[in-house]
Amino acid sequence: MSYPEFYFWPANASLSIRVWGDEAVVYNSRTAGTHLLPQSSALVLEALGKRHMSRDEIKNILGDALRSDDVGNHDIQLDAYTDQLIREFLAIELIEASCE
Amino acid sequence: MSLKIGPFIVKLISPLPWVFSGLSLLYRDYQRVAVDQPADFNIELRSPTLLRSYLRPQVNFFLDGHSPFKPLPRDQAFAMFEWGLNWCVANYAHQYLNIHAAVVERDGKALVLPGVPGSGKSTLCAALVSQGWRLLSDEMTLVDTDIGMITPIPRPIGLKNQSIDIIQALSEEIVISEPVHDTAKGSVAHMLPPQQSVADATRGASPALIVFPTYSAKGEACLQSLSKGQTLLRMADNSFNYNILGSLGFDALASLVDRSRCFSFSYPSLEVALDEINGLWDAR
Repeated sequence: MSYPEFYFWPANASLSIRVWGDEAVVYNSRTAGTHLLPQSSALVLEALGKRHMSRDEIKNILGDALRSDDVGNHDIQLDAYTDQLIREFLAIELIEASCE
Repeated sequence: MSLKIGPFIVKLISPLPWVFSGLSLLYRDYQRVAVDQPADFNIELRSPTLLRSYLRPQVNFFLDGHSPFKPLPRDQAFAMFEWGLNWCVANYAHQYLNIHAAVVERDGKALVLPGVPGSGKSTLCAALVSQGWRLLSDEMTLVDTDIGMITPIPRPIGLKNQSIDIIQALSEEIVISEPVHDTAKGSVAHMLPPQQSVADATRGASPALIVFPTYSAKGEACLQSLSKGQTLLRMADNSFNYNILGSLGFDALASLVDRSRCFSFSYPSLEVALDEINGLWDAR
């Protein structure tokens, strides 16, 4: 399966992120949407705010975050979770993708 | 007549004497301002037409000469002033994050009670005030977006239907206006705010506790802790102008939530609610 080369914050938008424990809330200035997310997802967004990232880099951030999560002890299908997260982020316009 | 109401100067013009009878009772402790001083809100209450001055008399609300509402029966003139002023603040005072919530203060800290109409927040607010809590507002919590403090706008507390008698029964010293019946909200009356609450209106408060009340006559009291993330989303839904303020509103709301413990609370009676809330406050 081929993926876009890079993901990044939406153009002409800023994301305001607040993290409390294992939860985070993010505000998208372009859509005026406010979203409740797991802390691991917020880590991805914060990282994307600093630079463009590939799908594998996003997967690595999620992998580190979920391994350090003491709440869950179940197996995580990291690839599927990463792809689902990216799809959801794209759907609610928290990120954009580029194939440059 | 011009009054200082919380942070606002409100100028009211009306040829209707019964408007001022309501004000003379319920705004008797408020600072009068020179009428030639610029006002934040220039309000006029008058009959919409000459005919309606006599035939099924009505009253209409005008802000800066424009009428945003339909006329109401004349005996609802004071209630219309209160509802209209709420509308003015909700639609224009965007220097504050405005949350549809009652808010009271003790020891310099604020208890915020957000809720939809019918949740019982105004009744709960009136009861807490009768116990000595300082009234900051029964209807809207104004958060200063620069410093994060809650700005008081103490006004007569609106009571509806059976709440009127419930609150009056708490103490003979409580002053409540004559009820007006057959309004869109049923029977309505207003409780005189404590003089000290009005006098202290320039003193803000830091947020400390957020409790979403729900009155449910059947069932037991249930207090549940809410996560800050869930609280933020619910508060945003209860805000008049969160979507207008954009990221400024988000930052102000996040700061408010960050500084507060957050709960939802279902209660079957006012007595139970007061015991639980005061206990929760003392245990902070």
